[in-house]
Amino acid sequence: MRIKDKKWVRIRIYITGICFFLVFCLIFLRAYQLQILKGSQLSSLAKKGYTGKLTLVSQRGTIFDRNGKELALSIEVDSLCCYPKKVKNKKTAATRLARALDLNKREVLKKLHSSRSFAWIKRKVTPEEINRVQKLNITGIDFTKESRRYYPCMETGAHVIGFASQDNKGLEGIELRYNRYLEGQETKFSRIHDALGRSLIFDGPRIEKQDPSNLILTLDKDISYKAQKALREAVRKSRAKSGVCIVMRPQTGEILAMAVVPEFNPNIFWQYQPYEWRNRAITDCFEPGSTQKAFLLAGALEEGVVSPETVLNCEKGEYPIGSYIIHDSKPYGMLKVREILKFSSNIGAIKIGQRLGAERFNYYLKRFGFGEQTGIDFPGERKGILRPIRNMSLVGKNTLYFGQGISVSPLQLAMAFGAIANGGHLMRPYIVKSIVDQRGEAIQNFYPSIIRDVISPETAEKVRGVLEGVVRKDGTAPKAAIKKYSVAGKTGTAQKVDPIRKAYSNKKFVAIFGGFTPSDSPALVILVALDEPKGIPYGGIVAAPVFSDVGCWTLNHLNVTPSFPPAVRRAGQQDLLHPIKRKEKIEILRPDFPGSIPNLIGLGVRDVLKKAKQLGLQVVIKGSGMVVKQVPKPGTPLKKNRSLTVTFQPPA
Amino acid sequence: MNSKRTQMGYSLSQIKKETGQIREYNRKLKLEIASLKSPERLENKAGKEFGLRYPLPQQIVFLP
Repeated sequence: MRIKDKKWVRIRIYITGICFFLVFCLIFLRAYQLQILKGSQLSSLAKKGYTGKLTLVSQRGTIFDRNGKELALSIEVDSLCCYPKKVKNKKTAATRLARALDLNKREVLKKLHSSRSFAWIKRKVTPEEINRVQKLNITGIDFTKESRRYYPCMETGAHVIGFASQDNKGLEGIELRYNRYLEGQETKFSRIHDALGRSLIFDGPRIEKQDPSNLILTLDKDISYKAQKALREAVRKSRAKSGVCIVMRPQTGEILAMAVVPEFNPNIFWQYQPYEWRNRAITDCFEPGSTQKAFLLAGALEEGVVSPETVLNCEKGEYPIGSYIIHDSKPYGMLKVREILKFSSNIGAIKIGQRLGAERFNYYLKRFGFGEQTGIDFPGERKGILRPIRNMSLVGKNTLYFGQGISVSPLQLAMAFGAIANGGHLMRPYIVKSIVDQRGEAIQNFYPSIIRDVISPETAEKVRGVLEGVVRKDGTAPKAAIKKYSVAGKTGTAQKVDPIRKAYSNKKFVAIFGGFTPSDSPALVILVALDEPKGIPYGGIVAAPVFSDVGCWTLNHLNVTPSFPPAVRRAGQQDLLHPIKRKEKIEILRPDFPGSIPNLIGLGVRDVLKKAKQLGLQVVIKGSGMVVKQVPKPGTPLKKNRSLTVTFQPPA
Repeated sequence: MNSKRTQMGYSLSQIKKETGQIREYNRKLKLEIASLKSPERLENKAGKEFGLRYPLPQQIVFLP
């Protein structure tokens, strides 16, 4: 029995030992499987659990005007998305969402029923909408941050700036051309987070280079606004189809404003048609008409074939060329070259042209930049049409002198006027002044560049002198004149070609005025073109007032000193000696009459108290800041009043 | 040591988040300023609320 017992104990020990051994084997095998066989796979799985990737869509760069005012700016907004599988009661959810967001219920339902795991419900929602949706408390609805582009100036400069899509890609204008710089790259972080998803450590800092750049434009927001407003008004009044107004600095080629009508609001660009987005100053071409005569004159003076005082026969308004008879709007006899430009005689232009010769004229047109791109940093520029002379008929050659049979873009025309204004240099126009990084340091600057010298400074001076005649009282564009500033320019009223009849239309015109001011030291070149104005279509009537309006305002805005001939200067000083003679009553500054209550509007508390003390009045003061209201009113006799109530308001 | 590091990691990411939010808020304010200062709005406000208008030609005096 004892031996048997001992045996049994040994057996039990063995059994237990084997059991332990087997269990250890099992553990070892499992450990081997986990650590050696699946080790790397599992450790990466674990890493996924506590590290995450954070993708930040960096925002599009800001676009500033020349004075640092924002023209285009991106900010983060919330977008509403859903995870359709998590949404339970889809029908009621759709109804409630549609009501809160002002959407179509059926569309929302369709999105909620979508088989994908993610769907947008509404992108870029307002804070109020977020509030409303949050109150609904539906599971499976979530918000994510997205970047939205805003254009605070709305229509002003819209055609130049262009716009970017919802996905932050530039689609038009500067936004498109400089998309590469404006568009920031997606930056990815890896991070370590805890079980609740809170971030612990960011790995790998952002790389500076990936930050989007900002742009500084040559545009001036205020001038652009003025140009847009004046042009809009002119287009409305003349019932024109479209209009363009370019304001440029002739010495540098900087574009200060480029207004285009029809206009659009880039904040909601999708509500407009593509033809309304088009920057017509660059993409549309028309015949320059009589404005061409300015460049004819420049060529003829440069070659020395005429002088401003040369007298030419204008044939009493009828001049046969081949089988055609060229007419003038009014018959003229003998005219000086100066007067030909002033009255815009077509026959006179032909006479000047015949002295210059078609070949040489064509050469000068090319030198002035017609028939080639201006090289502006803007997408979609067209170069117009300048045909070689050898392909032209006799009539074609002769009508070219007054601007038929050639097509030019408004910008080309503006640049050519710029060449006359700045002493003969054809400049390359540009819109972007510099590209800067987020800290405002320049990455790239753009500088004025001369394409070529077209005419000598002396010739340019003479042309300017002749073009000043155009805005005199008996010229074609007295309405372009600006008070106290000298103006030089040229009108144009170009007939449009009727595409059906293939002939010049008698009803469709382009009214143009191009010029610069002050003509002795030009600060601005302004070109105005109105397409198909109804009623009187003359450039001097429809387009010239826009020139004058925009020019006057801009000269004031830029603090350009008015030009006075010596005689006027003396008269002006006398004017100053007797300023009271003016009939105009200035209401704001009423003089204080003795014995009556003075005008206190606009004064500070101290001044009010001082005045009141002098007059022996008791003052009741309300508020602080500057006086906005006083009782009794200024001018009330003092005798009756011993007290005064004055309301102040802080200046806004 | 390790817990200190974790603690600092937390506060660092919290601060980063806050700066991001403040920056964003700043941008929004800039947008608001830009919209409020848009020439169209200013002109409207000046005209309607304060009764300002552009000077008439005869009200402009040029000083030689």
